[in-house]
Amino acid sequence: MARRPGLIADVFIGLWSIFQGLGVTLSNWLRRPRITEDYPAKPAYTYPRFRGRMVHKRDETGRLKCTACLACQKACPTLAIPHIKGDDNKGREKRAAEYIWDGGRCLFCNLCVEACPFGAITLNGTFSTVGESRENTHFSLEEMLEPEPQTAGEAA
Amino acid sequence: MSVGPYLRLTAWWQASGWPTWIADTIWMVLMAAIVTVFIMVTVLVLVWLERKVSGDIQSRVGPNRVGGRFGPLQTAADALKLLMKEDIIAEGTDKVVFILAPFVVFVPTLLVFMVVPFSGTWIVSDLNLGVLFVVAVSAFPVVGLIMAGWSSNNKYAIMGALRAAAQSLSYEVPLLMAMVCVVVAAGSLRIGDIVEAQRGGHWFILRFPLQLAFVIYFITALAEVNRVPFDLPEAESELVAGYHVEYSGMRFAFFFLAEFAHLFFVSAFCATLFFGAWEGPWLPPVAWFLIKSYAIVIVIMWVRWTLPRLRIDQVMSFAWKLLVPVGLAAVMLTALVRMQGRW
Repeated sequence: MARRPGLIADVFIGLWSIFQGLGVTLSNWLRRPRITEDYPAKPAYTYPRFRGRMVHKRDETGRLKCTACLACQKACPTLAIPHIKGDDNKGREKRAAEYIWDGGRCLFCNLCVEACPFGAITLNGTFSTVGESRENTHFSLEEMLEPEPQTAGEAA
Repeated sequence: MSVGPYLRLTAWWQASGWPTWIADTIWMVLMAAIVTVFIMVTVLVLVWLERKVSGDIQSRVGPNRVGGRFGPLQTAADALKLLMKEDIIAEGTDKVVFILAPFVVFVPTLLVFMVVPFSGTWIVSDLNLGVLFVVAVSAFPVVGLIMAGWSSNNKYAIMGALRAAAQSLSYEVPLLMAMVCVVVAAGSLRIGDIVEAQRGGHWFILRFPLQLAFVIYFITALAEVNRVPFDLPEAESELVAGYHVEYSGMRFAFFFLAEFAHLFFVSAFCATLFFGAWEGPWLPPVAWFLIKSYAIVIVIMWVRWTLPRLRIDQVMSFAWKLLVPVGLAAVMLTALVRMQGRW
């Protein structure tokens, strides 16, 4: 067992440790940027494989990819996709017209994304699924659709 | 606040034929009002500062919503909330003592601001025995703490009150010794003389044995205002909140007010004793005094968010076994140097 230092040595060792501690807190004090994010004021950083709100993809022509085949609805373990309806496909391929995803029920298991034969949906949107009532956590197709890709002419 | 206007005012008053005591009363009430308003504003600033400093040290943001980007009105909002809260007096309490206790704590902390020299002329009353007055009055809040703890009829409250009493009385002794060092060096108990002795950059912190006194003063000041690492009277993790467990609303706010006012006083007095009070170049004296005081306040906050809490037996043995002997040595050393006529 190590011999305990004498009183005077003890005092100086203790003082030194106090200054070391003050140095640690000072380095945290001066650290910029801070670790805590200023979330609602600034958008929070999400990692690439982060799962959040459902996003509906568009194809190259800017058209919706989802064909209302209901594969995702069947795959969903928590019935978080209560309503899908196709459009009246007169003379063209069928696409979804209505699609509701329940952010309150979803457990972000990604089974719907894996089930989708067209790669039409992903679960990598923003993480905020907050609403003021139960109905407000339901998201419609318009809310989930990814923005129109800008063509070269428009961007210029 | 200074003597000059006071004398001129009383002379003018006497010339107009009214009795003097009316003028004196108005003068005193005015001074008390000014000091009270100053303390209120200071406490608001200090609480905000404490939150910002703690936020920064813990890599958080701190208040940033109320009243602009840096949340300057956060404390005002909190004070408003405390004002509107229900005034709860628990059933088993000793009502009279319970109601009296916050004021017994608050009034002495108000009184000590009487001798704080904001500048050469801005001092409410430059007493002959200024330092003695400070020691006597700033030891008094302990009575209020014991009243609060005992009348609350709560085990945590009384534990906190007993710890507060033991700690404050123990640390009063080395604190007194640190002040005696300064008094010996200055040769007077009057605050004005102590400041005068440091004029021209000869601050007491720069003179040989008084650094020891400063270290003792700083440590005991932390203990006097019950801050980490000496916050045993209100140790949250052991005693919930200490002596003010049963208090709510404005009664609690008075304890809070007294605590932060005492914190500022201790810093201001530290600036007075060791850092030349209001002396400094370019800026007006009041600005220098506030800068020095706030710098010491920030250091105390820095210490608070760095160190862990001591155990109660460690606190007591530290005071009696280490600080008191070192304090005695410091007093003797200062007296010896003074006798030799060095400096």
